[in-house]
Amino acid sequence: MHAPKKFKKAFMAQLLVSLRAAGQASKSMGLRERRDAVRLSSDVAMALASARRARAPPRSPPAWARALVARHAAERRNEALMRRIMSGAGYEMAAAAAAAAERGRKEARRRRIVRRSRRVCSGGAARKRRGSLALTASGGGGRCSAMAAARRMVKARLQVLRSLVPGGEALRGLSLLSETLDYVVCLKTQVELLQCLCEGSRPQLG
Amino acid sequence: MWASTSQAMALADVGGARGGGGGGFLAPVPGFLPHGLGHFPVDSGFIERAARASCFGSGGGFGAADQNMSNAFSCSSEALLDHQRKDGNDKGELELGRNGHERVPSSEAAGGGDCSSKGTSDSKKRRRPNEMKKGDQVQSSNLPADSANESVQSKDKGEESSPATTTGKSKGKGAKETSESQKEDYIHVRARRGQATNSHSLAERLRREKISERMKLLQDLVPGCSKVTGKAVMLDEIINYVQSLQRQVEFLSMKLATVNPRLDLNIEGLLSKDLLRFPGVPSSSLGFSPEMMHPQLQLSQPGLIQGSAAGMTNPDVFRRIIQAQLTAKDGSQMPHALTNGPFSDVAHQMAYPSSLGSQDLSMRPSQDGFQM
Repeated sequence: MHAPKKFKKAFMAQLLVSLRAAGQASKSMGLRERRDAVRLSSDVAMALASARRARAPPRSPPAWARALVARHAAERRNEALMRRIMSGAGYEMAAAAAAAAERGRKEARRRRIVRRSRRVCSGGAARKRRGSLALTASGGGGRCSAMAAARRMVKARLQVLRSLVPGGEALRGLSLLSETLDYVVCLKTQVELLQCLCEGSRPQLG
Repeated sequence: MWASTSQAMALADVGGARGGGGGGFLAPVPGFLPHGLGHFPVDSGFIERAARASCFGSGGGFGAADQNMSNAFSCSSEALLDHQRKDGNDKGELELGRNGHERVPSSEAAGGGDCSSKGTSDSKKRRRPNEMKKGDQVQSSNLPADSANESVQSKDKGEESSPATTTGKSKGKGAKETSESQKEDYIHVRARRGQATNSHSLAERLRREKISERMKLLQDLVPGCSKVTGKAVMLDEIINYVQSLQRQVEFLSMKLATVNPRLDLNIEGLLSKDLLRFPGVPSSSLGFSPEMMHPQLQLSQPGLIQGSAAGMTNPDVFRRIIQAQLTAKDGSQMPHALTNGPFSDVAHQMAYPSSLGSQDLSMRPSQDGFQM
């Protein structure tokens, strides 16, 4: 619904190209390999189409696109296929992005550990003070703990979302939500297009 | 610095006419502006708008200013919504670009949207129209403001809004902030009466509003989310939806892999079945002219094309694109989008179907979720 027509067409075109490239490569693949090849090609197609659409009204391409491609590029056995789809130089960029993402992930992890330790140290003292104040102010301890529990739930779910959306570990708050938005739109288009392809190639069997 | 700006505004106000006197203002006012304001780009449009806004503001007509601006950018906000929902509307996107200097209506939308959203709370009557306008405008106008700008904006807003609030919450100031925010890329936030006016809480409130607007968008996107309210439950739904979509992609790719074991897709067969969705306004003239324009099509059945109904128009165009892409891929190096490489020929051909009928084909009913 959100996705404009041009995006769908670009995506589909890219998908067909990459599937064709995958088809050339797969002589003796088992089912699982083929499935992975299809998924890889469709993901790459999605990322490329979304990057292209982000270029037309000049915005920056979404962060998940790069992260997705980088994630696929990080696996060695996909290398040949990706090279063919993305024409060499694009693949180099994906590899660079993969390395950068790896480094970023380590840094984010380090930073989070530091932050958590700091919060534990200072939070114990501060929370007592603030907690008592808030209790006396609001007159009900239950309310505060309910809010805190809600906040904890939201935090936990944001964490899960970060693990789902590619490249989401580095994002916080607002950017995470916008990335999720874009990613959901693209996932929907991907599902639709794959369904089309399935429908299209089915009657060949009989 | 702000006091002298207010003097300049007063001068402009006194200077006379509201709308048309922009050129006339330019001569006296820049002479009066002190050096400290050198970084404000002073041009006729700015002076004119400032004059207009300050005239509105002094008379307690902040609502009027709102209406003026809302008229100005309601169309752009609609354009953005259209882009988001339907086909791409590039003009709307351009208007709401991030750069505040050239595309003035854009930051006007951003600044005005936020000013109208935070509006005055002095009179309930004025607030209600603000609230009513708030929904669409804050959504649409805040969307293009990318999060990359966020830290800059919050920082600048922190330092700009505090002097503004200290000098008093006159509506003239508010209007001036709006007009200035048209030039700078800041989002100025008006402090409501009786609420904390620290820079921190203002920034927090702004962030929270942006987050809520994104959540609203996600709510529209994810099916079944309209009833639930509250961040936690909605996030839960979103997570479930994303997971199910990913699983569906996996399943479909497995299905595709089983269906054709060699992954040769028989593109012409696909297109001839016309299973792929296309904009559904065929016109036979358009259908045949592209055929003649591109004789190097590798299709082997011109008879089929001529004999087919006009409904085959768009698949031909699409086919041409695919063929071009495939040949380009095999022959030369295919431009890759991630590096902003030149993408002229395919982009040009992509632009072609957009020139065809823009009527939206009725989509297949979205077979959502769980058909496994």
